[in-house]
Amino acid sequence: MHKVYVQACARLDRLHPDPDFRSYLSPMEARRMNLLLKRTLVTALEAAGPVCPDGIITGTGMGSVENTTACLEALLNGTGPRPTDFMQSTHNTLGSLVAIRLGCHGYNATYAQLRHSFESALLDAWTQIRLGDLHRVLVCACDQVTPALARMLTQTGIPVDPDSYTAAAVLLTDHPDNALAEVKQVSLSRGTEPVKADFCRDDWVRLYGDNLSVSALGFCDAVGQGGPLILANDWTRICIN
Amino acid sequence: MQRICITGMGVVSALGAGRQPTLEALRAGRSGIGPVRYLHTRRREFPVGEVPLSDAELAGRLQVPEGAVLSRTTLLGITALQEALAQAGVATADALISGTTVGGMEKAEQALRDGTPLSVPCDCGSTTEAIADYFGGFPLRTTPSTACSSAANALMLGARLLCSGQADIVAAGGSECLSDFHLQGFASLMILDTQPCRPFDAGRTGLNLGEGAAYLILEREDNALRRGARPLAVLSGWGNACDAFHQTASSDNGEGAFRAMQAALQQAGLRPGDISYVNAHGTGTPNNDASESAALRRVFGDALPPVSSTKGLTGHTTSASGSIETVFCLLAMQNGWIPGNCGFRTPDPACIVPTGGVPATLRHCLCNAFGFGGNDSALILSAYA
Repeated sequence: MHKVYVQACARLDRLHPDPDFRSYLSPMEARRMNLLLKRTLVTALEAAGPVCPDGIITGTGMGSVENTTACLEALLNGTGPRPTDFMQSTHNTLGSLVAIRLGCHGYNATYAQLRHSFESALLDAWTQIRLGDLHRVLVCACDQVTPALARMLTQTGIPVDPDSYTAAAVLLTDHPDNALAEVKQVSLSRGTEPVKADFCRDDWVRLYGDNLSVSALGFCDAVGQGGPLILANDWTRICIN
Repeated sequence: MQRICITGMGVVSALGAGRQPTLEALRAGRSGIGPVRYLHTRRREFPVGEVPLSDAELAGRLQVPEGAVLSRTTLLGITALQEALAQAGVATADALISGTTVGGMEKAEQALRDGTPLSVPCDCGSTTEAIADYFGGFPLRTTPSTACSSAANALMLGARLLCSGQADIVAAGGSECLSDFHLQGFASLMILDTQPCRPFDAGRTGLNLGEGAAYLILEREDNALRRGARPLAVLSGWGNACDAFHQTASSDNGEGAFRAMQAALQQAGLRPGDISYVNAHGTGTPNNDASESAALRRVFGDALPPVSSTKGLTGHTTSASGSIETVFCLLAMQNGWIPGNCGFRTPDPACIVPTGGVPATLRHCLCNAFGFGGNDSALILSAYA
């Protein structure tokens, strides 16, 4: 089995303000994209660097929620969804946009497991690099929480903070040169013995608010710290060194 | 490398609930497409492939406790998974990997219509959780959401978790119910047909939406043999590639589809000439069928094996299509025939000419599933020998 290394991280969240999008996007691109798409694309371009990855794997709990909400409202008021809202409501529109922009024909997947979407994407990337199926994989995590979504999730017992747009991207490779960290283990296993974690969901929520991609932000923080660390998000575990 | 064996399969679609009614309808070429019966929508002009059971009937068959609210995607998923687990002779597995795109959207539609609070989470992942909770176990649960290739991608992740030793036995596939969201969303893209769809036909004008679920129980050969399970077939190849062309349209030369099929052949260690049947994605839209045909011609050249699309029988079951049509391939292999391409009459120079409804010995079947965002996947099923 090959080892898996983190080569780069990029993120935009409430502690990391937006860059000037004009240096990444043409005016026409910028007009067509909502804030989540813009942040997703910018973090992906930053983390990917100049080389096209051979896989792009995205984790998003709810996808581009404002487009989904617009579609639902259009069903309710009888006008029917607009094509753009419908297309962009599909969760893998985010990863597909990154692939189109990077001209990347390689493996492309998206996982939607609410608060554990990043870990799902990371699990796939880590597994494929270990098996030698992929060598350079961009893992993206992005989520938007609107006031309407926060209300709906809270109704079903899932509290989140309204009004957040979070995007993070992590470049993983199978070579250790200049690596920021090694990913030793990725596990999404309920019912296993509780392991003492160095960082957990509560730590990240304190910093970034309760949004669906908070574990990806915590991962980016931990990668910069060095040393063996265990990151826990409910029952998921990521071990880095 | 250890072979990835299939030891159980379960399916529900417009053709019926379970392998036996599915096989009978497939063999008879009896389409399940018709007018809307259960879906709450004002767009009644589009025929659909609905599962011929109401939510209450599905819940009753599963003995869901009174008062428990489950989305239709969850009910369809449990129905198919129950059959797959039973055939494999297991109560649960190490992982449930279940693809979906609309998840429990129809429950969100209902709450908005009625002006009531949501009774159940509607996100994609929550349907996987609810399906897993019905059986218990499944410590690893995740939800690929790549539109219409979701279930095919679920099978790929399942195979890889087995190859890397992270799991010994997994359930993988997908589930998706019809929703007004999907029906009107596809209508807004102007790719729905008001007539029964006609994949690869010169006069095709769009797809019919369908619904359903299917799961396969996958395990490494050593695990299957150790516990005395009988492998039904082998998942010998898998490939995914991105067309990287457009969010909803496919490229003229079918680049993503071509790469996905090539990758699956390479993984399986097979040449194009080894493939005995291709279950095409074949949605019936002008764009998909022409693009897929271009990709098939690039892969197979002049030696095209029999190809058919079963979407004229089921409608396009979107996120579940990859696993539903994998089950169709396995039924075809077991019963020695090629399923028919319902709706085809007139060849289109831009398309391959489908074959179907004829007896054949099938050793290796290729099953395509392509999604929005140019997310193209191909699986190869091989006879277990």
